[in-house]
Amino acid sequence: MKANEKRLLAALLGMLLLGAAVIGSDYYFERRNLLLAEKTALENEWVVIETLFEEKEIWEVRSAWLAQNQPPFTTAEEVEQSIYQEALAKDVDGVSTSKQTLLPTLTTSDFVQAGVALTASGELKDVFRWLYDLNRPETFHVIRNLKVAPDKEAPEKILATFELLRWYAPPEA
Amino acid sequence: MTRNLPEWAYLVDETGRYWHHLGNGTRQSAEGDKASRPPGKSLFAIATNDLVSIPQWVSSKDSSIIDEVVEAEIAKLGIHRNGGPGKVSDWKPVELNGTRTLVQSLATPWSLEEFANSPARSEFVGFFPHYALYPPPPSSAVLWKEGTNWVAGYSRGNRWVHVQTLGGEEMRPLLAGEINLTLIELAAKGLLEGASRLVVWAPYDLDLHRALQEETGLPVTFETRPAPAPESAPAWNFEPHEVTRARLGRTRRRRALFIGFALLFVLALLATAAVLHLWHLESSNERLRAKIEANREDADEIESAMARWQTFSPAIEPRRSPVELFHLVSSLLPEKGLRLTSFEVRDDKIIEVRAEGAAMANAIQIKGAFEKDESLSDYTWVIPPPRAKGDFTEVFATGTYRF
Repeated sequence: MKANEKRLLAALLGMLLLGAAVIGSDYYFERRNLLLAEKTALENEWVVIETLFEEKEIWEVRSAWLAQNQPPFTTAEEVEQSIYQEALAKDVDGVSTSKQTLLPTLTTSDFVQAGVALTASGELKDVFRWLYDLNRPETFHVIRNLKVAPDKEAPEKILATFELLRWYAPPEA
Repeated sequence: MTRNLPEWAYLVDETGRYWHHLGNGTRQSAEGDKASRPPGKSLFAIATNDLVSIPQWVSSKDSSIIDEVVEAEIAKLGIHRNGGPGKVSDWKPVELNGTRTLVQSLATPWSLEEFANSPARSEFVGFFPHYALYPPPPSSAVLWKEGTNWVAGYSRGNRWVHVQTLGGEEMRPLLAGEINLTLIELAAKGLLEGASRLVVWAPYDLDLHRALQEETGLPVTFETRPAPAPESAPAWNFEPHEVTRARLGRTRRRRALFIGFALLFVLALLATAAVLHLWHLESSNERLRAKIEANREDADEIESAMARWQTFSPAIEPRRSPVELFHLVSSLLPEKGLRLTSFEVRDDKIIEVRAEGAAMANAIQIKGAFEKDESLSDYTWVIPPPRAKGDFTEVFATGTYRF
C-alpha cells in the first residue's frame, strides 16, 4: 500500500471514528437527559410518597374517625324527616324558623345528602349559638349559602337564610 | 564511553567492497546479488572519495566557536549542509596548543551513492569515515587504495589530521609528487610537524617505493593494513539525510500510532464510562421505581383518605363553615362606627359583606383588615372604593376562595 493510500485510509478511519464518536455522544447525552428527567420525576414522586407516609397516622386516624362518626343512611323518608325536624328548631330558645323547603336528596360516592332551605330569626347570639350547635363536626351538618341581614321589622333581630344539609354514609353496596 | 557497535562493517580495500566481521575479523564478499545484502546490522564505512577533509588551526578551545568556524570553512567550499536533516559534517580535535585547537573537519558533500544503491539500507546502523577505522602509524604519511582510488592520509602524533583521494591508477606516476606537495603544504600551515616516514598499505611495488622515496625523501615502508579498530577511533558522527529522514519518519509514525492508540483508548474509556453511567442511571431509576411501586398502594390509600377528608371539609372543618366565616368577618369590623348590613356565603366559595360606616375612615379600615388577616388568607378580596349612601358610607367586599 502506498503512503498516500495509507494516509487516505487513516483519514477515512479517522472520519469514521469521529462520526461514531459524534453519534455515540449524541445518543449518550439524549439518553442521559431522558434518564435524568425520569430520575427527577421519580424522586419527586418519592418525596410526595414520603411526605404522605409522614402523615400516614393522622390520615388513618381521620379515616377511622369518618367511618366511625358519619351517620348511616337509612331511608330517604327517614333522613328527610329528620332534617326537616331539625330545621323547625322547636326546642331552640330565642330562634324561630320559617320558609322550610326540603331540598332534593343528592347521592355521591362519599355521602347521601338530605337538606332543607330555611330562614331563622332571632337575636344574633341565639341564632348563631344554634348554628354553631348544628355545625359540630361529629353531626356531619353542612350550612351552605348563609345570608345574614338585620330584620327590618325588628332591628334587634337578624334574619339568617341558609341551607341546612346533612351528609349520611351511603348504604353498603 | 563505550560505543554500541554493530557486528559487521562494510569496508573497502584495493579489491573493492567487502563485509568484515568486527568481532572475529571474518571477511565476506559483497559481490553478487545475495552477497550485496548486509549479513547483519552493519557499520557503513564512508569511502574517502565521498569525503572532503579540512584540517585547520582554530584560535579557540570553545567547541561552539569551533563549530562556527568549521561551518564557515565548509560553506566556503560550497557544500550545502542544510540540504536535509542528516549529519553530513563533523570535526574532531587533533591537538590543543594553548589557546589554539588543531581540528580535522570532514564533510560528505554529496549523497552516498553506494549506500543509496544498497538493497538493504535499513541494515546499516552507523556511518563512519573509512580511513578513521584504522589506527594511523605515528607522524606518517600513509598511502593505500580504496577500490580503484589511491588515498593518502597524514597523521600528527597518533591521530589522523588529513586525508585525500588522489585518483585512480592513471595518477600512479603522480602520486609521489602529490603527497610531497601536500606534506609541504601541511607543514607550511603548521598542521604537520614533519612526517617521519611514509607507509604504504599495499603489496610491495619497487617502482612506487623508489618514486615515493625520491620525491619525499622519507623512508618508505610497505605494510599490511592493520585490522579496523572502530572502538578506539574518534567518535565521528555522520548520518545521511535519507537515513535521518527515515528515522524521523519512523518516529513520527510511531508517535502518530501512539497518539492514535491513545485516542482510541481514551474514546474507549469515555464510551465505557458513558455506558456505565447510563447503566447506573437506569438501574437507580429502576430501583426507585420499584420502591415507589411497592409503596404506591399505601400512598394511594392515604391520598384517598385526604381527598375524602377534603370532600367532607364543609361539614367537619370549622374554618370553612359559613358560621365561622361570619365570626371571623365580624371580629375584624371596628367596634364602633360601622354596622354590618349584610353577610352572605355562596356555594362555599364566595363571601359578600356589606356594611355602613359613619365615616369614610371606618370603611377604608375594613379593606386593610380583610386583606391582611391570616384566617381569611384563603380568600382573594375585591373591595371597591366606599361610596356615600345618605349620611353613611357604604362598603362592599367580595372574597373568593383561592383553592
